[in-house]
Amino acid sequence: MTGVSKPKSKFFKLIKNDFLASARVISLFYIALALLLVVFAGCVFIGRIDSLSAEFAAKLATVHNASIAISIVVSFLLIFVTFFFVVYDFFKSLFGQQGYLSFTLPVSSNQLLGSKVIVYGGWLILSYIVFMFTGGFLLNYTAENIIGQEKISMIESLMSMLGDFPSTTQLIAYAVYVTVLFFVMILSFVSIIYFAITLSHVRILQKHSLLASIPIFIAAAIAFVSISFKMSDIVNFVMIFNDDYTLSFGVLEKGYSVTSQYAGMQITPIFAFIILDVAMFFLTSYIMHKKVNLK
Amino acid sequence: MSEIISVKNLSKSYGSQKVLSNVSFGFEGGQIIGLLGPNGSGKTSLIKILTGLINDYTGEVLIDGNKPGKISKALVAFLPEKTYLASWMTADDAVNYIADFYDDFDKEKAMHMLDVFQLPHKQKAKTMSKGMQEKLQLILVMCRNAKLYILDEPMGGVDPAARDFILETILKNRPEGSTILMSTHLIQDVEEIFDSILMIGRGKVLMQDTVDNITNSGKSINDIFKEVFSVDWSF
Repeated sequence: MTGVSKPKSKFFKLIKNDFLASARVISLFYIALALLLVVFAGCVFIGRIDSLSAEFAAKLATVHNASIAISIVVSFLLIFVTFFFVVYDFFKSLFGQQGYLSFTLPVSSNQLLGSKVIVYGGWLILSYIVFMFTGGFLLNYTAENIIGQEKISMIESLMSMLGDFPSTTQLIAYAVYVTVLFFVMILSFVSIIYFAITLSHVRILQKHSLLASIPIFIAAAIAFVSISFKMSDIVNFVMIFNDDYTLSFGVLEKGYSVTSQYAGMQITPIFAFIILDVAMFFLTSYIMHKKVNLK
Repeated sequence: MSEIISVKNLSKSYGSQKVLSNVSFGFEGGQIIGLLGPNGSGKTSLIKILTGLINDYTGEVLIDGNKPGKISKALVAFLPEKTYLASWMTADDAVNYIADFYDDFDKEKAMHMLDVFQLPHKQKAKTMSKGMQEKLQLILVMCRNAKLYILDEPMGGVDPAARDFILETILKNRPEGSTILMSTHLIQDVEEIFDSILMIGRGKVLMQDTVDNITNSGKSINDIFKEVFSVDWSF
């Protein structure tokens, strides 16, 4: 007879199994997209050869155009499928009959929830990155080689977009800001979805859990944004891009804003979202542990 | 010997509906205990509390001295009435899944039992019949060397031949010294295997006794059950 051992390793096993459960489907889209991009790139490079016959070039153009169209469809589908899995797996593995297995595992509700947030938050981030990469890849080669426009490099277009912040420090700060904001937003999105699904499975709402989860999600999202605005009103912590190309951090007094008086980025909402994510995580875990009743 | 299950003043309500009211009982380890009661008597709620599926209750519940939680869940092998396998899982996946989380799981034995029970290793749960899924779940539970087995209606909704098979599998694979708490309403089919019984009705413990005491009184468990619960069906 053995008792509980290595709680951390059980948590990693939860992550492993959640990953395997979702990877079976999501990874197929990644593979499909990778193959399509290989076909697309192949068409681009073969298309550069001057000695191609007109007939072959026409067939190549058809394959090329088809690979672009299908890649776009698959990359959108990838986002949709990942989002579907975020909701579906959480719902099914915890509140469907599979919940009888999940909730009797020798792990805490924090670990059950944490594993889902890590795995599905990770999938969402990865799918979004792949989506953006696919778009960028197609745009770059299409613009450069097929349409015949002047060479457009992604870096040049990015630079022109960020022309107001020309120093390297400001560019790096901006990139870090956008990346952190992106991760936090995805995390908040997942947190709110999981909170809504969990709360909709307390006994009083259980009969109409699907219907109940939608207004709960909307209300929680509104609360997130309202609280972050309120916190920004109280302490408006900002990152400022100074005219001399340097960077500084500070708290803006009331009546000033980064949009009207200063070029910069608000940092308080990021902190607010992180605090709310943590609060939402423990609230969801508490409801899951104490208030949910499996049918 | 310390009690494997100890319940003191346990109450549980769903809103205004009280399903368990000040329930107290205890059992020493090493027995096969029959949890008996009609539908709606509170059996399932009690099992959910013992297995850690329900945590908002009043009173004290201890499994081998531990409150229902991570530690107790590692000691308890639970066979619910429902089929709980994920649709993507093959039989092998299910065995590997349980082996990942329970240190007392005998994976080799489980793989062998899949062959004995003629369950294809690579067949997905979603394509299995209900009977195959139940067999697989039985393997997953009985291949653990657990201290306490909680079996919720393991023979519910199956034909008499399958009942014998399930009962035999449970008894053959039960580790020595372990305890089985089995809820059932098929008393006649299983009464000879019980060491003790716990009868629950209307959210209360109506009877707790050893089978020896019952049989010494010249009655069967079935007779006692009818006596205890006949009032529920009288005009």
